[in-house]
Amino acid sequence: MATPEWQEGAPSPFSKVLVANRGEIACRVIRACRELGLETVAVHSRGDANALHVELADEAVLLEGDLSATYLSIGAIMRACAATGAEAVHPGYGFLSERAEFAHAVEEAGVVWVGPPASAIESMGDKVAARRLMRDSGVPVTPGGELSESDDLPARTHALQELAARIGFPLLLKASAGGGGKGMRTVHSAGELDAAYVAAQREALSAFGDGTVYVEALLETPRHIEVQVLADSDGNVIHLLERECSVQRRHQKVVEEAPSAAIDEETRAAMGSAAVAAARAVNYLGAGTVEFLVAADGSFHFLEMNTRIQVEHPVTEMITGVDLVQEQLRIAAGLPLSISQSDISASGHAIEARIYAEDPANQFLPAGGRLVVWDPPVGPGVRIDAGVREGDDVSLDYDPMLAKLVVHAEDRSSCIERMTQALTRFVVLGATTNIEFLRDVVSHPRFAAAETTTDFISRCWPEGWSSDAHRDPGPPAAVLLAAAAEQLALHRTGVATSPGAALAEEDVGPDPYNPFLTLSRSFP
Amino acid sequence: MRETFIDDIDESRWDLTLMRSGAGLVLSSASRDGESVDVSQSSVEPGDDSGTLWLVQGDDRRQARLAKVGDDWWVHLDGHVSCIRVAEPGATRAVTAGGGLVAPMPGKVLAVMCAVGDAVEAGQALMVLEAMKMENRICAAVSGRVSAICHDVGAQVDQGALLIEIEPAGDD
Repeated sequence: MATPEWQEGAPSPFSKVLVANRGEIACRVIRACRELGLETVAVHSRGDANALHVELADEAVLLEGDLSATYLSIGAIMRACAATGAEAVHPGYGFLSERAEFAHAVEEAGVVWVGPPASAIESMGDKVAARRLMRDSGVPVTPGGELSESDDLPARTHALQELAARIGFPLLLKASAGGGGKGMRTVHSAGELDAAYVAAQREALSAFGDGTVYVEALLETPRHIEVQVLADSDGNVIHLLERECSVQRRHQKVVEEAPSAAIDEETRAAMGSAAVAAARAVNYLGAGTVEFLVAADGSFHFLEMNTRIQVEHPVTEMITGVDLVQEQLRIAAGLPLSISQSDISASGHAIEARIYAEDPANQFLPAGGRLVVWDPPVGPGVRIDAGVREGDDVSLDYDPMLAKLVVHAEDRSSCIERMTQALTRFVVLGATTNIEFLRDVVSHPRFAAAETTTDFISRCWPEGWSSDAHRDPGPPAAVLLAAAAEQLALHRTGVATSPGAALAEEDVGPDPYNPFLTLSRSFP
Repeated sequence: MRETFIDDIDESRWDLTLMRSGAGLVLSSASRDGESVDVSQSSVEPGDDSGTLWLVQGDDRRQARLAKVGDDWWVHLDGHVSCIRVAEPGATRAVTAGGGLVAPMPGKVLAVMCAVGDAVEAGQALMVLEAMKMENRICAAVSGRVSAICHDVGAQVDQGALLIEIEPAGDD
């Protein structure tokens, strides 16, 4: 297959892209490639043989073995690359996306890496080094400090106590190699410090193979606001405004929106400039995100830079009209950005809700099952980025995120209403999801008032969330419906139960033009 | 017809009596954990899709989506999903028209308690299926003679797979 026309004259053209991921992001990248006239290769584990991303790709390569031999195996993915003749690799997010050695391996094989240079991943992956670099580049960082790993444990705990006394409580212990809340501990007093340090270090070591832990002041009720950047190989760096991702559970984002309702134009501009400075400091290339914590007084502090596409990138796409994955592919081919800073402005408001296969009434624990019914909402301003389809089994081997529901509307309040309605219409049966919880989040008065701080969920539901589906003294509606369904033998009929359809079946036969026939769907 | 259901939220046990009314059903009485409760005027009408029902309470008509997985009815109403268990003692009564028994969910055959040619009574447990670490007894829907056993112990079966065929006794 020839390289597509838009790559004419590009320094590093490619026509076939291997997507080293699964789930919704693999599907998202494959679709972007197809729109750009690029062929795609999916990789998959045995359990994912029937997954949506495998179906969507032009070719698929089965990787045998467990996680470390499949989506986390640089060797296996590079062999798949060679076997299929893929000329570029898109890592998605998670898995190997922020592993500098993967970027190295791809580049060494003469394959185009759709991402930043390995050196930028390394600089930002080491959180301690990144903090120093940002401070030196004039990007504001949270007060904090590092511990020398060369010291023995008593010396380190002594240094830790001194550091804590200087920063004050509460404070955070964080893994330098960390992310996703692993190796992280909140400490409220000096007495808890030593035990928390040992636990954080142990967790960091087992999760990332690196037990380096650093200390940061814990901002009281901060907001999590991040800035999307794009950088090309000509040295152009632009930002695409911010996303607010404060609504989190277990340090994982649940609902994101753009723009943030909490910052003014002055702060927005300052954060944008700081994000561009951060990207320049590491010679960034491609799409990246600079995360900040914003304190109640409006001051913002560098948290970390994610050197990959983010889960929540669609909210930025909705308000700016820029396809970030397509921009990643253009930049990887060595082409300049198709847009400049002055082209970027926010149109309307966008909210994303992450649909997880988990039980929000039971500490958000993952829940399995089969998606016997999967019927997402459709309509104006409603976008679904899904990695599953009806009939799929929910795998408990991977992240429980099934899909992202993204809505766009002219302003924040109409966007909230659109999201509330979309979540109400989203029907998933057979596996427990957080859909009803998400609806309660976006329809909460505190969300409407933009009181979205990182403790939003625990403040709104201090005793944990539970459904407030109305409970009459009489039998619950669902029990009545189930009883009726059982009696009407709903599950034994493959076709419609209405009298018209029954008549059609018996008397007319399968006439495709019969107005009484509905599409047959069979339920267990 | 009287059916017993267990609401997953608080594990209450409900017995409901529904009366036929046209194509739908009207709730005539209900009891919770054996205690009779007052019922408001409620009826259920079939939708135009096999997974859809209408709940009608006064002027209020609400559409619900339902699917049965094993012994559980998954019910979606106004954005809320409930899981309601049919509390017939341990049994699944997924039946095909000819008296054959089908798998209510994908799973593994743990035990077969009958042989071809056996005379069986309606309600008799014939097979045990394990799915999602739960054991489900597969019981005869009609009295008759076992004419085929489609899967042996240890076999993995798909949802809807025919498990056992029964020739009904008598005329039907």
